[in-house]
Amino acid sequence: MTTRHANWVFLAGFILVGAFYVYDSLVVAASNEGAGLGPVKFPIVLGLMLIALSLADVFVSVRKRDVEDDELLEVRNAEKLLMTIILTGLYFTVWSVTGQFYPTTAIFFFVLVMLYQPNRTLRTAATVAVVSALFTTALYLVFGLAFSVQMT
Amino acid sequence: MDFLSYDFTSLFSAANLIAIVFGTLVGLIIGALPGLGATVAVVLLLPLTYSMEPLASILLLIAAYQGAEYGGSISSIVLGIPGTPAAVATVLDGNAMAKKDMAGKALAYSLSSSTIGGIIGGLVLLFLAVPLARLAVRFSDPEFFLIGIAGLLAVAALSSKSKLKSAISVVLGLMVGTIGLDTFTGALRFTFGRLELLEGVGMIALLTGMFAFSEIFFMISNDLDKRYSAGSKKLSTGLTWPEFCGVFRSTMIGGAIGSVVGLFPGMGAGPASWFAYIHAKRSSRFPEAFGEGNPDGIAAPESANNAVVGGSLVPLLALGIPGSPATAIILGAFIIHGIQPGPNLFTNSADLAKGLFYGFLLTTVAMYLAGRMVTNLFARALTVPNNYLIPVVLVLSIVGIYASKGLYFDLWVALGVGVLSYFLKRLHYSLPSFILAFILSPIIEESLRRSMLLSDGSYSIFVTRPYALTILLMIIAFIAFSLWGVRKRWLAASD
Repeated sequence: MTTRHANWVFLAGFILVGAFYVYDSLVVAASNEGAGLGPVKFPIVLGLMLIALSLADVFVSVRKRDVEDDELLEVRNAEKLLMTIILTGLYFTVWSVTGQFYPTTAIFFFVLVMLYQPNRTLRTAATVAVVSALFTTALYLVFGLAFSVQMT
Repeated sequence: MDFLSYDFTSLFSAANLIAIVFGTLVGLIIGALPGLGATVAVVLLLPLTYSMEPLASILLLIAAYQGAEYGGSISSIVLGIPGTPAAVATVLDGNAMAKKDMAGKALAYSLSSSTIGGIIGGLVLLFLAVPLARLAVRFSDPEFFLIGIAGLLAVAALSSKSKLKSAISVVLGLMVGTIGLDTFTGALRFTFGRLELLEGVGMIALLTGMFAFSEIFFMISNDLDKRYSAGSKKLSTGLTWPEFCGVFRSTMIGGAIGSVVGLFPGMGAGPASWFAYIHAKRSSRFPEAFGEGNPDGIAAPESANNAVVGGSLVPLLALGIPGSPATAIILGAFIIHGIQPGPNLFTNSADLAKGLFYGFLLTTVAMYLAGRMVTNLFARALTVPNNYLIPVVLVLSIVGIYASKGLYFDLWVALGVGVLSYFLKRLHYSLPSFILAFILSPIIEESLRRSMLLSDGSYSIFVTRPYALTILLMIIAFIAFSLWGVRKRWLAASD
């Protein structure tokens, strides 16, 4: 996908968001009649502005012939990026279900560093495990003990 | 407010001094690491502030902000890779000087000019915040609405490659700012039935997702396997008196430019350092020496990017309006401690305000001392491989988000915002415009609605009050000036 096409996808999304925003404001307006401007006029203006600006950008983008816009929107290391996002989501889920911040963090940190390692050997895994343990201990000492930050 | 009637012993308490030293060191190291800037440094330190006294917590963040602006020059000079966007201009002459085997000297120019710039910014803060706050006390809702609009216009006009995309970013920020319980009527807006959204989208989650998570995703995408080499020579950061005098003029001018630029929302340290660099080059007797390791090419931008810090705190403290993402996080720290920055800060929390003014100057001194002592060590820290650095920054960011409200929901918000911001940034939408609009959204909407209530729905309230009319005329002049610039460029292009 080129940068131009990706931008169109986002602009289409913005137009939908703007339309939903205006629609939801009208729903709120039906049940809330405030004095003065009320709770929905400002959001409605914003929703319409977003739609108008997005359409204007589509128009500009169609007319503009920048070489830069026709370049492919390449995401390098896409696999690792996607894995990071999935692992982070998984980490949040496990942490919120178990309530165990420090053990979950140690595992999450270990998995991430291993994911980013160019060479995954047993020796590397052992080193990373030690670093993970040290890092989590440092987190506990600083946030848990010194600053009493509640992490569960 | 009498500046001299301040109990300095409270400023020099152990807690405040430790906060300043720690904030400076963290700021220096985060700023020095390529890709991570002042905003990330302040985000990472935020969770530590929850259990601290208000003055110590704000000084911790300001010290980190200051330190990161100088720290950015370390990687610019030593590696030729800017640690922060504000240090891009420094690469040109700083790295050129380093390549001549004078990296220590280049760092010395950077450190001394950053310090002078920081002091100039501090003095601007000291002498401008109180008069501005005194003026702002006379402002009411119509004036605050117009100040908000002026801030948005400045943000939209001055950032991003495309003005249209910048405007879209502003509108999106304003829209996200309307989420939550409407304080006038109690109506729920765009909450989707989630109790976590009653008070709106969490600012810390949004900021961290936008600036820390997206930056992490960029590092994974672009620099995952990078390992930097800082060389092995010891770097001395001392300057002789003649060397210092040689760059004094460009340092002072850079400081003046930086502190003025810092006053305007959305501009920040990046543009300030370029303005200062260009001015130094134009006014130099040897402009051809720029880019070849000219000391003025280091001193001017470095002085400017540190002076921005003091300048950007002026609108935050006097009006309650942050001028940059980093000051937006500092605003968050104020709110966490139940303090609302703005004109009343100087009457309701006078000691805190004075402590911040003097503490700011102290953070500059700390930055200089830390820079002299540990720059050499931090230049080595640049060799930390990204495959360890990324998980460290990610986990610390997550701790910051969770500790701010104790909500798992905020973690998901930050992750979603981070992914979205990664793509928005790649498509040249303006994240600073988004975040400043998000913060200004409630100020603008509430002051507009109150103004309308005061005037029985008549918009004449914006032209019948002298202060409002003055601000309105300034806005019109700004728009006219911008349109004139567009027309000029259009005519030049058609020729």
